[in-house]
Amino acid sequence: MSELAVNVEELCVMYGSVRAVDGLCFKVRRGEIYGLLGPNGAGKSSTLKVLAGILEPNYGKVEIFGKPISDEAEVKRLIGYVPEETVLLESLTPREFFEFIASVRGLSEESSRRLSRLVSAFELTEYFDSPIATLSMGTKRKVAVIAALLHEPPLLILDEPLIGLDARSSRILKELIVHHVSKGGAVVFSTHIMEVAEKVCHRVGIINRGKLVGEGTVSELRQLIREAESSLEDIFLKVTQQEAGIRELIAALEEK
Amino acid sequence: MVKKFSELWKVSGTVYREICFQSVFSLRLGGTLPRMDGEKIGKMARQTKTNLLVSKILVTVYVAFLAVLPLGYWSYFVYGLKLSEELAVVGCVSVFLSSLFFLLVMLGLQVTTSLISTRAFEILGALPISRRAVSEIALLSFLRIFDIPLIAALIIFPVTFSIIVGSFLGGLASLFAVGLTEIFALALTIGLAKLFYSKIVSGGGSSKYKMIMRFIYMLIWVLPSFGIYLVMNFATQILRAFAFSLTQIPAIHAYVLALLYPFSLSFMVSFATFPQKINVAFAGVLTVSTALYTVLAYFGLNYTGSTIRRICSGGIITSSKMIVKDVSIRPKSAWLGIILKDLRVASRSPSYASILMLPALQTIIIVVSLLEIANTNLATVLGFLAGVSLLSLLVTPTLFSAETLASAYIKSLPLKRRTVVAAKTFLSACTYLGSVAAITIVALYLRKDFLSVLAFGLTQTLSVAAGCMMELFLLIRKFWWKELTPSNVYSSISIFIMVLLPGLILCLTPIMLCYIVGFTEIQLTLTIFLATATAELISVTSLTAAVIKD
Repeated sequence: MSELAVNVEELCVMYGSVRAVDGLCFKVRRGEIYGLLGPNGAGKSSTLKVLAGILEPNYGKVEIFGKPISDEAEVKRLIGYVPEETVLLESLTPREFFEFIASVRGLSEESSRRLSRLVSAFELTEYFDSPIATLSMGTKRKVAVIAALLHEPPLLILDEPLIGLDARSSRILKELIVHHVSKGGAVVFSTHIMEVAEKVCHRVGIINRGKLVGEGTVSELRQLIREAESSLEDIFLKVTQQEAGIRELIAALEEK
Repeated sequence: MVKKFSELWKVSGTVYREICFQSVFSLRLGGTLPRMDGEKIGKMARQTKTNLLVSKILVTVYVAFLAVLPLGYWSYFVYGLKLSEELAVVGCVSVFLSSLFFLLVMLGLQVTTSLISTRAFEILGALPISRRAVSEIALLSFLRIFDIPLIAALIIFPVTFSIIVGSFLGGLASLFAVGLTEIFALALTIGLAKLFYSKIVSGGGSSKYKMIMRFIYMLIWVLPSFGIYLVMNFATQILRAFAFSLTQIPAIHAYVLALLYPFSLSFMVSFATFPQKINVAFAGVLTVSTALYTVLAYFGLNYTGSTIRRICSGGIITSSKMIVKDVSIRPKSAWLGIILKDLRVASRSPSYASILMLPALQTIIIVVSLLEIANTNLATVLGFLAGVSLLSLLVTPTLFSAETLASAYIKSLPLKRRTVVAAKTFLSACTYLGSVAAITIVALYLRKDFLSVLAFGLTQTLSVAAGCMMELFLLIRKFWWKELTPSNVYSSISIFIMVLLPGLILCLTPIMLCYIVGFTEIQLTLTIFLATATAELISVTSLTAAVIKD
């Protein structure tokens, strides 16, 4: 299998006349956690949907472990995906949902053991036979996370995976991500929580209006903006040109 | 604070538009709608509005038909069956009220899921609007869903009644009866919706007992749909049978009927039309029963309002922790996994269940016809098979639309399109085969030509499979990559016809060939039938394999 987990070149996604992703290029290697950052509507989710095989790109080359994404079924076997919007098959119970996922992924009954461990770690056992429609947002999120991890995919694509998760589950997921890459897997994930990105990601890519405006490790990005003490949040605001006027806006809002 | 009715009505209009939008675009189901640009979404929203208006008008036309049909039989009752005028009124009114009742419940059940799942009420709850006002807005939004049919029923039947029977007072009484019926129908709809959400959606558990209970609740839920389907198919027969039975009832039974809905209201209309022909004791019974039903309607209206509020505020769907000892799963092969998933989704979703059961309903109608027909020949059998085949073709797009549920997630799975085609063709063909098996058993029991049913029915399976596969081929080609939401499978009538028509032609070709050849030589007819159906299946399978590569 290729050392390059993800290879994106000149990716373009159009929604009608709107260019959501505009000539995006980035690479993710095995053993790497790559964070995709950007303001709302920057094109993060669209990019991740293309990687997960949900969205057909208008233009560009996308390869997963050296395989083109047009090789749909093969590529999707290598991926575990957690969507931003947790919408699952609501009328099914988690048990039925996992059974469906395992059937489509061609897993054996052996997968039950892994499932059992994941269900126990994310404290889902007591909701295992409740319809997904009745679960809280956080619990639904756990179902989506477990479904993505069930087949031990070499590449995890996580779109805002920590939203809705309680502290314990967030911690477990972060640990699992680190463990996953230590075994040679790769992770691409988007987040708005800069502290998490700073702590977990080996490299980050910052996109704005569909274009990559900054990429590298946090220290490389600091060099880019020439501010040695900057946090990732400062860097982010600077490269996405959102910093200007924030103080004035807050002052105006606080005015009586 | 929102207080005035006009303000509440205005707000309910906004909620209603949101319900329509969500019901068609199924955003809640995770469709990939956000991929479209604003202009296209706007265009589809406008199209949705038009479609909903057209559907309301179609229902109104049907309500008008139901209103005019019994009254059209007026002269038949009075002069043909020699029924007294007061009993003829009872017959006409009862048939209309029961038909309207079933129709409204069926319509209501189709839309309440959207009403319940919309988040619009949560937003209202956060605004400075009293809980009572939110409840009233919920009720008004619910009423808006079928406002035109409700108003049409209130106008058409009383006016037609007044003109044909020639009684203004009778017309007024029928207006009252129709009003009460509409309230009862709304209350039952909401009651069933509550049952659906509390017992089916929230009812978890993997034990066989719980699964059976969920299935029973589901049957209760879809029963009104079956009721109206049967009324539509046997409207004339029901009317005649009912009118005939009215000529047979002893006087004492009329007192019992006067207490039962819808007869009580029908007798009340009859009393208002011919006050001089009803005795005092009977008038007393009618007064009591009408008063009781009026009180019941008052409580029904309150129940509807409060239950809608509870449902809309999320008070029905609850999750409960369970003790689960075993968290193992049993993965199947991919195609079987898809079939099991489809069956599970269908068993908990009324719209899917009612369409999946269409062939079974058609089978009931065929069985009733078999009881009436003295001798069946090959032409009759082929007619039956054509009917069941066509309804099986309606199952396939529904099964495909199940694939669009949560598509934003499901599409990330390594689901092969060929596997999807195979699974859904198999399931559609199974619904057809179930019908053939049932008709064969009934034909055998009735000593009719069961061998023809069996031989031609089984052979026709190949043709049905070809038709369903062709539908799936077209649906996958059109929707697999782009804008996959449940709505766009059904949103355009032209697309729906474009998908159905080739399947229809494939299913009917062997049957039509039999008609052309004639039925003189049964072995020759069967041979041609088998050869055509086999050729169809092979052709469509080859086409699918050639075009759909994975």
